[in-house]
Amino acid sequence: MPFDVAVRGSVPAGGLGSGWPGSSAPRIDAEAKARGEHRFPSDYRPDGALWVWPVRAPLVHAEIAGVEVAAARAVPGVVGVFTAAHVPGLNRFGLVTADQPVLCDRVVRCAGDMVAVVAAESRRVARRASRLVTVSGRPLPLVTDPAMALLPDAPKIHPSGNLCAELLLGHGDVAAGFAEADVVVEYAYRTGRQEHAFLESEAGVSYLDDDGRLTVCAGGQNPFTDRRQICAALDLPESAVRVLNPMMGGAFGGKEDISVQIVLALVTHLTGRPARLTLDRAESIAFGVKRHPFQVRYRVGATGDGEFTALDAELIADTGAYEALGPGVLGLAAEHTGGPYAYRHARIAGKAVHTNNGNSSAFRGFGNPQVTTGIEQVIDLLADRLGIDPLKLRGRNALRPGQRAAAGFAVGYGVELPGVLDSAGAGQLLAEAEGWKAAAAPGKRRGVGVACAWQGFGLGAGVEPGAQVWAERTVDGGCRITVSCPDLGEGNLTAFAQIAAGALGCEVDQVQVCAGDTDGPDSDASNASRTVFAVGNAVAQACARLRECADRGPAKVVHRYRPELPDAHRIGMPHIGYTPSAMVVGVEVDVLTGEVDVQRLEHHLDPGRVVNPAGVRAQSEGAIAQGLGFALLEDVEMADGRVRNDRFSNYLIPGVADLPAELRTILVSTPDRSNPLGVRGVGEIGITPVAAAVGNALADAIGYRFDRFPITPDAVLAGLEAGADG
Amino acid sequence: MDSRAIAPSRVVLRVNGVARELAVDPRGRLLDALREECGLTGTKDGCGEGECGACTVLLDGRARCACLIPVGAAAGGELTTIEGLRGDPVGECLVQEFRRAGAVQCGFCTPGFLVAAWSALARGECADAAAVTGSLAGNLCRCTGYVPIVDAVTRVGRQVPPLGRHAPPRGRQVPAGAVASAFGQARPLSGDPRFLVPDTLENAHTAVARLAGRAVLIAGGTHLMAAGGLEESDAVAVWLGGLAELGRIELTPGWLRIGAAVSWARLRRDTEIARLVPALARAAAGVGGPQIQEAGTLGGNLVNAAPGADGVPPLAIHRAEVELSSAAGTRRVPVTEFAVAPGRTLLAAGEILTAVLIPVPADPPTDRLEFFTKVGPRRGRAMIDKVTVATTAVLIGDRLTDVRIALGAAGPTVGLATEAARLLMAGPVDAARLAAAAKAAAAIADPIDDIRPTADHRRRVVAGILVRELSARLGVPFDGGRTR
Repeated sequence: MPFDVAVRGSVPAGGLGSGWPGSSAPRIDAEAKARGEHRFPSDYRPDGALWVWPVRAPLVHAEIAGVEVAAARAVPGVVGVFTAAHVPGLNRFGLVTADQPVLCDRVVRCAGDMVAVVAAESRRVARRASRLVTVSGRPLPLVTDPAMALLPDAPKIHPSGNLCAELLLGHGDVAAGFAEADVVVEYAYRTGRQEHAFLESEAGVSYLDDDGRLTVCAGGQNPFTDRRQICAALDLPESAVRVLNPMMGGAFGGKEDISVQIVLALVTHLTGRPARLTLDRAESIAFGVKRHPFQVRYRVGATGDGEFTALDAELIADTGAYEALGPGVLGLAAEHTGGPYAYRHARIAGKAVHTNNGNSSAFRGFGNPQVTTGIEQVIDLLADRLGIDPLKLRGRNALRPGQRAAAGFAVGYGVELPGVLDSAGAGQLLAEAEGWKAAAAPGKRRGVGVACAWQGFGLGAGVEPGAQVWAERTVDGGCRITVSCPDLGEGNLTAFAQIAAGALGCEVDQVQVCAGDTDGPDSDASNASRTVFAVGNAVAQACARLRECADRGPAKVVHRYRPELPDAHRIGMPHIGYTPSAMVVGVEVDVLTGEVDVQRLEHHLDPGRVVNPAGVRAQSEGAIAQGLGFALLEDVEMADGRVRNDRFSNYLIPGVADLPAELRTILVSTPDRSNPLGVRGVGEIGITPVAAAVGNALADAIGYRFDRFPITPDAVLAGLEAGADG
Repeated sequence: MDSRAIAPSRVVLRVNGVARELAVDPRGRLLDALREECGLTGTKDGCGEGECGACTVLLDGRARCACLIPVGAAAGGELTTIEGLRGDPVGECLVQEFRRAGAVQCGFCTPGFLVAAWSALARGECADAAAVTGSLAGNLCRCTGYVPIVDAVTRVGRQVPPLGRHAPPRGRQVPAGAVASAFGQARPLSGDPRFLVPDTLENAHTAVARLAGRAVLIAGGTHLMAAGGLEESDAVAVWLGGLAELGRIELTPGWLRIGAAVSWARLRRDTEIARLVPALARAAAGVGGPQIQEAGTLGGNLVNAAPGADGVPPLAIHRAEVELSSAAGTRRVPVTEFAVAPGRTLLAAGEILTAVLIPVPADPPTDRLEFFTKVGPRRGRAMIDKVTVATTAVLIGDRLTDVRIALGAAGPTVGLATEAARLLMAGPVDAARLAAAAKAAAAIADPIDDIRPTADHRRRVVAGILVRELSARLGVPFDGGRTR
């Protein structure tokens, strides 16, 4: 499969040794995983472990009068059935605001809320006992529509009401901006409720270690936030609990929030016995967090020669029952609204709204895919009205260093968009576009579309703490790097090994990397496209200090990398830097059946300095696959607060035949000036522009633009008919 | 008898060349027996319904989903898990190519892909990227986007010749040409009253009669296991894998007889099926990934009577009959009448569907035009939100004769588009005739109005399939809508 690296700017230092930064060193974990030898969180089986079974509330929104567990407790083999009364400390958790019950005491707000947890000697007994728990209470009216949720007489999901977060950002005076415009385009649309669908569901074990310390080993994205919430619930000091996040079977943001960790710890804490819990697929889809569905309205004005004068955007995000990371998603979405372009005036209004529709939280892209889907199609609409080439229109308005983004903050170092625009413009897909489209067979229509994206990396101003790591020279002369951010599958630990090898002048296989343990340093989470940037720089600096140690024997460096963050315009905004990309997509539509075949795709991205080209390509392609799902396939359908499609047979993710026959990632590498390594985060950028590029390509193919994502075959057929009439 | 209170009996499984005696309920999932009882955690639980392939193992050298196999059905067979591929030349080659290609990210799906690839490589089905894509259609990955996985397996395919055998490393070797399938091979009986393996049809009838409603007949068992299996119930599994006659495909004068327990995989590859009932071979190739094709059976498909049962439209256009056997004798019923409603058939208590019979003329026409097309939102494996159309016809001059059209997933049971067929036969084929026939076929579709896609959409797709497929095969241009 073609894979191009066009390196512009300086070439990464180092380069001797097969693993040094800049080379596609194989993953350090690949072989053990391929052999089935790596133990995932769901593979742990402590001797004598109790099987834990969560009991979910029978109603979606209800006031609880009582939870009856006597019948369940009486089942032979049941060791305990625990309710809210058994939670020793704070019966609430949450990454920012602790508003979600560990075990519901008074109110149930979504289908996934737990009311009790069973611990038994076997899985079968635990399951059977769970069915004997009865909950009495009275139903409360359901809130399932965000617009309805904001009405003054809407039932309140929380005492403070249904508005979880709101913001108003921008600069200048949009009315004046529209007055200056020669052309104004409006576009309103909604995006789907996407499920992470990691192949390994939420899973873990808990036990008392040899020293009697409570230990939880689970799939999670930050062992320290897991521990903080476990300790709050169990009323234990943090020194009394250890959390491990081993390499797990995918996360994509869906394992940042607590899932199994607290109930596992609770069972071990109360029984003294090890415990295990793996959600089955239906539970995972039905009750796990989801991507926020967004409803977005854009209005954008431009002058006749293509300068953007005004942007007015409204965002509504359905955040579900609890806060989780809703405000953060809304904030990042607003930050990126309008795309990497300058507007003379801008106004962005956003709301995150509570409903009884499950719970929404982090998912790769974190609000950006939802807003990029719109602006990149708006720009195409403007280009069409103005008679300007779509890429040139983007280039003309691309944010320059120091300019203000639509949300009102200044982009310090700029966004390096021109490089990827040029690359896309010079690419094979666009060069061949007209000929390729003309060659469509009877009954097929082809279209080509482009979309750009920017994605902030790191956690943003006022939030990104940098990372602490350890670098040690071991007794046998090798090196050990210890970080806390787990490897979710993205290969960050391999990148750290390469960085360490480069800094120390040794081979990659002489570097051991330990991760995901609260007994180590706090490198903060694996999320937000941050680890190669924040933790990678810490590793590089720590190793440089280690190398300087005069003592040749064992040595340990504890080092914290503190990135130089811009001033916060708003919490988390702006980011220290932004990764730019330009995506070109060629689609073919069957006009008789509405089937859409994405046949060609080029992703031009600038990852900054490249530690591992194959690793960057891997992130690009994996994110693109999820983006195709977001664009064409994936939607969790809710009815009365319950998920209707909770299996892989009815929640469809892309399979091997759904990826484009031609899929290319082209790297344009210009060092980022925000950090010493010059890297940019690449974990999320690939997913963000896909839906817009597909939407633009479909508009090119059939002359119809869609306002609802995912775009399914029935919508395509309807669109073909409307296009024929219109 | 509360079967849950029975002490687990001892089931003997041969795993990675080693015989293991396990105390488990034979109705339980093989996946759980491997992971919990054998401690072989390389095989993963990803979905529990055969969609993701993370639990792929080899049973007699063929890729199967362990989440869909009751333990009792694996007894006596040769099982290979990812751990058993260690040291195998093809297995080692796969590990190194996956590593080199960057095909391992989180790694949870990887063992399933490797085992599925091993099986396809053994058969020589990895000649190029397109073949590899088909061979891996039963495995999902959420991290990589598949490209390096396909690259890695394609590279192995170029280095490794087909093994010419169907048994995995270690264990008994079975020549590739042998009538190898889970059915027809003698299986040691587990001796557990919850899982019966009758060796004659007569014994099967006796057992079913004795069990008075508690018997659940299993052939491939995919539907049953995906829906949760039998462990929580009092039901007794009566596994039909010991009945050789159910696993045969036989051409007799006037009839092609397909045993009820013939798998999709065999239907797909059988030369008589390809020659006489090509729509059925086509349906078999798309019913699911290779793991599902190896497990699922035609009889199971018919008895489950889902509105979208892929086996029904191809059989309907060939006027097939089903043979129902009971202790009192056998009877035959047209396939088009067998399913009466979703999930309900004419199968009476105590009856077993034993065969499908397809009438074949003495000299079948050589220029038969026939297709089976399935359309859904995802390529390769649409299971839901789909529409299927099966069509057969003979072109004589410029006219179609002997036309029959059947629709699947377009109504509670199969739809016969008789008016559409009549229109097609009524005159020379041209664009207008095709369009009229397509419209007539769409009109008989009576699907439920799901939120998405709507009944209207399914009707449009029915019409679209007919126009597209007939136009292409007959060389008739059609009006594809206005040009942009």
